[in-house]
This record gives sequence, C-alpha cells and structure tokens, in this order.
Amino acid sequence: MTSRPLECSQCKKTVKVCYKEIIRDSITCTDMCADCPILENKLHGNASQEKTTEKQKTLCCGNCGTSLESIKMGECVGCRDCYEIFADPLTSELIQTEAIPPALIKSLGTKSSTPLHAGRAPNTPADITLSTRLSSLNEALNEALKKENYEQAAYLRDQIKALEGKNHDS
Amino acid sequence: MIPEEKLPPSLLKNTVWGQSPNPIWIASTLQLKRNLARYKFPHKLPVKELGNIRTLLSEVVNKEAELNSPLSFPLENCDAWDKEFFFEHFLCLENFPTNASAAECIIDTSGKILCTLNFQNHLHLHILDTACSLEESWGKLSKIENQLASKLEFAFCPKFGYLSSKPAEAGTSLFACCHLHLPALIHSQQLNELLLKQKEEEISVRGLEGVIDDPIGDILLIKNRYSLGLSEDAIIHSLMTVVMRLMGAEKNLRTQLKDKDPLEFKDKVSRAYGLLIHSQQLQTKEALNALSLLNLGVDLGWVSGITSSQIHTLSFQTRRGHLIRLIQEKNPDINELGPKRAIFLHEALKSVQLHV
Repeated sequence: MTSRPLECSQCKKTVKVCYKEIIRDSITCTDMCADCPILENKLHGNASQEKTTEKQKTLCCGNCGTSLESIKMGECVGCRDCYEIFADPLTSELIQTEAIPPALIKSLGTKSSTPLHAGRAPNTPADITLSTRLSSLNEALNEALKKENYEQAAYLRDQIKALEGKNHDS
Repeated sequence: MIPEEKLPPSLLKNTVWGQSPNPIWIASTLQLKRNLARYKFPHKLPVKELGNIRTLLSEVVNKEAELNSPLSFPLENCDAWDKEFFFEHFLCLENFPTNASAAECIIDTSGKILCTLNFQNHLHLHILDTACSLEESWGKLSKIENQLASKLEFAFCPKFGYLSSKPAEAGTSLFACCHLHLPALIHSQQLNELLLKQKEEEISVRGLEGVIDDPIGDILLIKNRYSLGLSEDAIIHSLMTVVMRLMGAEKNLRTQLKDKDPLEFKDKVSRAYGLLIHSQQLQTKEALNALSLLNLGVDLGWVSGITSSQIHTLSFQTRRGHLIRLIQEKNPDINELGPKRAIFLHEALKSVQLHV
C-alpha cells in the first residue's frame, strides 16, 4: 500500500521542503509546500512583510486616487469604488476602531464576506411603528419593577396607556 | 447676514425646544447621509463638478412633494452668523463647513427639514422632531429619501450599505439624537451611576458641547453610536429604550425632590434666579445653566410667573446665533453679546417670582 504523501501544515498541499531550524540545542523541523508563507518568512525574514506593507502602501483606488494609507490615517474615502477595492482592509480598520457593534465583530470572525450592513436596501419602505415605542416602554417598565422603583414604573405605565389609547384611536 | 424676510417665518417664530409636549424630552433629530453613485465624494471633486451636482440635487430636492415650499440658501451667501443660526435651529451635531465649494442648504417652510448639499457627502437629509414622535419623523424622513432615491441613484453596496465619505458612517448612515433635560439627575450626581448601570453599547451620551462631565444647560444628547451593523429599527429601538429609562428616572427624582424639599436644590434654584435677574452680563453657558435650574424650580413649584415651555424657548433663544437675530444686530460685536443677553433675559423674566 502506498503511503499518503505528506501535507503542508498550513494548506494541505504536498510537502516539497523540509525546513530544519537549529537554535542552540533545539532543533525544529517544519514540512511545507513551496508556496508556504511561513517558508517565505523564514527565508527572507521581514523583507517579505515589508514588501507586502509597501504593496499595501501604494494601493490606490483607480477611480479617485485615494490611497489605502490615507484611509488608515483617518482620511475620508473618495468614491464608491474605494469600498470595493479596500473592502478587507476597511473591514479590519472598522473592527480595530470599534466602529461596528461588538456583537457583530464577534460574529464576523474570519468571514470577511459577511455584510456589515444590517439595514434596509434602497427603495424599501421604513417599517417602524408605534410598537417600537411600546416595546421600549415595556422594557423600561419591567426594569423599573425589577428594581422596585414603583414611581418610575407608574410614570412609564401612564406613557404606555397614553400610547395604547393613541394607537386605538388611529 | 440673510435678511429676515428671506428666511422661513417658522425659523424665527418656532423655537424648537419650547414646542415639545414633554418637559424632559425636548427635541430629537434624525439625519441620513447619502452620496450619488456615479460621482466621487465631494472632497475629491473639482468646483465645477460640485456645481453640477448642486444643480442636479437642488432641482430634485426642491421638487420633492414632502417638502413644503422649500427655500435654497447657497452657503457662499451665508455668513458665519447665518451658519450658526441654522446649526442651532436644526440642532446639528456637526459644524457647517467654513469653506465648502458649491454647498447649499435647502429648508422647508415648516422649519423642520434641512437638506444640505455637498457638505461631507453629496446629500444630508435632516429632520427635527418636537413632538416626541421619533417613529413618525423617521417615517417622514425615509419617505423623502425613498422619493429622492427613485430619481437619483445613491451609492450603496450590500456589504457596507449606504456609502459615506467616512466608512464608520456607512451602513444605514442614520444618525438619531434625542435631547433630554435632566437637571435633577445631574445635580443630584446620580446620572453617571445610572448610565454605568444601564449601559447600552449601541448608544452614546454627551452634552451640547461634546462632554458629558459638565453638560451645558443640563441637556444630554442621547444618540446612536453605530450606523453599521444595526438596522434602522434596532437603532431607534435602542435609543427609545434609553430615553424612556432616563425620562422615568428624572421624573421619579423630581417627584422625590418635591416631597423632600431639599435645601441644596432650593439654594441652587435661588442662585440661578439671582444670576438671571441681576447679572449685568451673561455668557451662553452660564445663561443656559441658570435657565435649566430655574426650569427645575418651575416644575418643583418654587418659581412662578413662567412656564417650563417658555423657559425652554428662552434657552433656545439665548444662544448666540439666535440672540443676534432677535436683538437685530447687523454687525454684532461678540464682546457686547454678554450684556445684551443679560438685558434680553431681564426683560423676558421680569414677571418671574421665587417662592423659596
């Protein structure tokens, strides 16, 4: 029976290189494919990272000329194409600067394709009714009752009654 | 300065804060930011192209049926005082640009809707709500936006939503803000504790000038922190939840103060009364702070001769842009505003009496 060829620890491609690192008495062997970024890093060190950074620095929008670097420095985006071209770095920047709700950041994970927009699409009507206000009032009322804050609860209950009366009339 | 006869009368007569039926929740604003799909964003465009965009947008917006006889004010024809007046009236959160090319304000005659062209984005739609009815105002604003969207193509993508010049303002690109008057909570130092306990991640709280530590006029701005990652419904729901809680807490505390009759608060109200009635010059901040305490005094039965709504109106009018229009100063000297503000308030408060 033929044995299964060894796989790169990163991408499961066939192993082409065995990288052996000897530091003092410690020997580390890593099996990698020829394209493995870890191999690139080990052979060329920070130069490869700098190359990537340099590449990122010069990355510009073809439509308006806005550079990725300027966006990372907090400058405005120049056009709609910027959002497409810089989608991933923009997403990372928005996560880093906490411009997205924490709950969404947790659910994003490594799924860069997850939409950040949760609202309505163009030409769809708004759908907010008095029920939103009622729901908010009820939430606040339940909290007030939990804390035995009866005067606050009475005030909120009056607001609810007034709103229900208004709803009934309309 | 734009002559009075060229402004919608509602801007001069109807002071926003004084119209609310609720003495605590005094006003709200909703704003949508939009860009045209086929053009670069304003800061990337040459003046000529900005002018073309202004013409295009102005034509479409001025014909919008939901806007009642709108009036256009090119920003190059507005001086700093006009911009300050509009900024104050519409409770804007961002200053008007000083050097924007081909920028314009379009205001409808109700004085509640403001459309700005070529500010940071091609179009900002801004609505004032003075009836504690955020849902209805949102319904109206989104109707206007839908009507405009049927004639103009807005920059949108499924991943980032409505595309804004600032990526953090993309998504719904909806910014809602409620103005709450909370003197009892602030002066009893219970506000910070309350905010810490009831922390909603999606909501931010600040004062009129940005800082929450020393809120001017005891007015807090409750606004949504995110426009990305949340639906319009979720934004308004979160906002309403926090507003209702704070309103309930403020109302509760005012009732307690009425029953307990604390000397500390009587002293604060008395000092505020003295400052307003007798000072020879007043800066905006000290006037707003004093008026806030006087307003609390009205609610607690310690001050008569004026209503809460009238005091909110005065607070609105005493700010610089409005005061200059009211006293009809054509070439205002900022150094003389302090004494003129004091005279204005003396006259407005002459029938007020303190019962402490």
